[in-house]
Amino acid sequence: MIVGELKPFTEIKKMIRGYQRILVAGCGGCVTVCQTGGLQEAETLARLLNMDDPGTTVESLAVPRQCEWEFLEQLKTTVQRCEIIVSTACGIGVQAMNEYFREIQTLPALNTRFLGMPVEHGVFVERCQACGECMLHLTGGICPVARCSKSLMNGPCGGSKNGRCEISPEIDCAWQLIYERLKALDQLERLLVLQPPKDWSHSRDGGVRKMVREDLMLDDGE
Amino acid sequence: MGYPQTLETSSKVLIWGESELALRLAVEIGRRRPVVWALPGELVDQPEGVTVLPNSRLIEVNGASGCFSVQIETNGSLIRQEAGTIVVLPELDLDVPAAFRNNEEIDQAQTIVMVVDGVRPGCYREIVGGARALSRRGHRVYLIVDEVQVGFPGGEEMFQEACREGVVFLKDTVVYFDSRSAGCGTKLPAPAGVKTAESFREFTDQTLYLDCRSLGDTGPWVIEADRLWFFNGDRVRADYQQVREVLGVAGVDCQEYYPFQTRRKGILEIDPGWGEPFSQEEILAAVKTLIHSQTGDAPPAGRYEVRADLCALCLTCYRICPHGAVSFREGAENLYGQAMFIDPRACFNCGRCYAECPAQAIRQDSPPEESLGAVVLACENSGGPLLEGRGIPCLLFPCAGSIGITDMLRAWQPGIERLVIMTCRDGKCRHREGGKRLYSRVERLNRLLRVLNNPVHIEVVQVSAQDRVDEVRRRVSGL
Repeated sequence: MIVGELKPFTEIKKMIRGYQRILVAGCGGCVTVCQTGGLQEAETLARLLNMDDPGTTVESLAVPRQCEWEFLEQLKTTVQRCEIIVSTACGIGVQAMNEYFREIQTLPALNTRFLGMPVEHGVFVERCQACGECMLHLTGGICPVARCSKSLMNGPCGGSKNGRCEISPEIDCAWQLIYERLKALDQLERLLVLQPPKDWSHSRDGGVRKMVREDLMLDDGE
Repeated sequence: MGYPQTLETSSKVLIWGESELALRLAVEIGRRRPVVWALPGELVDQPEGVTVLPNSRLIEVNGASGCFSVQIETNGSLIRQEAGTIVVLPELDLDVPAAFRNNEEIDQAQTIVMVVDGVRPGCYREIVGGARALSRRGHRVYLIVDEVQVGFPGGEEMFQEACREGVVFLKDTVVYFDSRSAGCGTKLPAPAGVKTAESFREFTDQTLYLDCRSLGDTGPWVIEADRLWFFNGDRVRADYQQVREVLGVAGVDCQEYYPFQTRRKGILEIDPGWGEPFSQEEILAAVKTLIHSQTGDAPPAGRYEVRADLCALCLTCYRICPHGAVSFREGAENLYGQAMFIDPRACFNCGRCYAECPAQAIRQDSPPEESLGAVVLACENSGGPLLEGRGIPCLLFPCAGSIGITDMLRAWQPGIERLVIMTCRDGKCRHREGGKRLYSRVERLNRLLRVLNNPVHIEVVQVSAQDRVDEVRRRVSGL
């Protein structure tokens, strides 16, 4: 899931300064699951903004996913009576809102952090960097791109100590994890195969990425 | 890694027996909790909503404390069944399953029945104190009392504490006495052929002997968590002499000191009349009540349910439910085709799921009534009774753990600088530390409220229903 984190309240306050009629728009997708942008958090933020300045009118709503036009349509009536929208969705949702509601600005209430998963209730950890060329089949199911601090492809650097990364003792060394996993799978020979330099053009280095499925595309007018 | 789901108790009830009573219990309890009915013989009519295992034999019972694992032979094959509660209904021509007799783990937690009748407050206090000490050590203690005494200083508090520590009070008039002197009932010689098994444990530096195994020979046993209830079709007997020696109730004769009436919940009245055997109806009623009485109260009808159309399947409720009442339900009318489901038969309405649901998908049957100008949000078990009729506007919740951040914010009105949340004292939450999650919630909200133009502060105070309002007012200025 996409993991987002609420911006400092003072920063949000600053963004909406001068606006009187505000909509806080939540998203029912990833940010609901990571407990930062669902209906509950949207209402919380709306109420806090109203408490901060009781002169404002703040409403809150959530749609199943802010990154789909059809769901955004549900917000139309409410948006019409607002001056500004604060979105508790990820950066994708915020941009979708800005593209859909062109007359009114949508501001981000979250910092979109990473693609990850909850390793325990309330603890979310990065697992994927969307590099565009998955190599998990080679590394025992542990991603060196996202989980090695240096995204090394051929084993650990010299900063790996006692299974931890030199960046922080809280970070596991991804290559230590890969080694242990491959050992358990009896596939240690995989580590002897040298990985050629990764083609980063599939990642951010190739500019804005796009996927087209022509088979799914609808004909004009359909 | 992963989520080891820590279910402290299973809500499932396993009933073993073949009689009409077993069937009726299966049906009655099945309305409130998931029931598996292991039937020694053939099934005649399939009771609605009950899983039936015909031609069953209980092979082995393991576990304790609401997490029994029972091996059952049914129709010739062996299966394992998890259950929090086991009700065994032996009949005259059927033996009590050896599985129970031989189980070590169950035997470790002794069941102690203490009969307390006609004692004055001083002794009563000592006995209840002793019962609490035993209960804290993991024994299951039943105090069969003629009256719950609360008329002495601290009596009410003591009763509450004892209940919370697991002492079960049975108000009963069928205790047999050979004299009306104070103390406990006198032990009758065991009838011929009835085995007398002593259970004894070190208690302070003395030894407590009580005969209780033989009590159940003619009635059903009920085991819930590690509790055993013994109903006797004839008499409840206990060893007066030994209880008297241990607890020092000898030579007391002050019947005029009681009865002190109480209307507190959690006292189960089983009063079939002097010396009369229990009827099936009475046993049925008592067992039904006990089955639902982890805290003494039968749970009210499901107050919380999941709105499938809003459920994001985030699993929050599934992970945090202290009663293991949340599961998946297929065929929901939403994007995913499935949603979380709160089994009303297992739900104890603590509302923790409601407070933490990030999608606000958990509906509350009866949300607290809006109380204008309320600055107090209170748990209905502690703050509720304390504030009742005091003219302090408050919003009541089933547990302080069910007060979500939005509930706190909804209670705020312009001009209010402080909200007070009343929760139970440490270790007293009937929903297993429900209040603890409240603290982290309040801490987070207070951090946000601190930076408002007009800062608001939320204060959590621990109270007990027995506190004095004046004293609480002193602690919470401006209340």
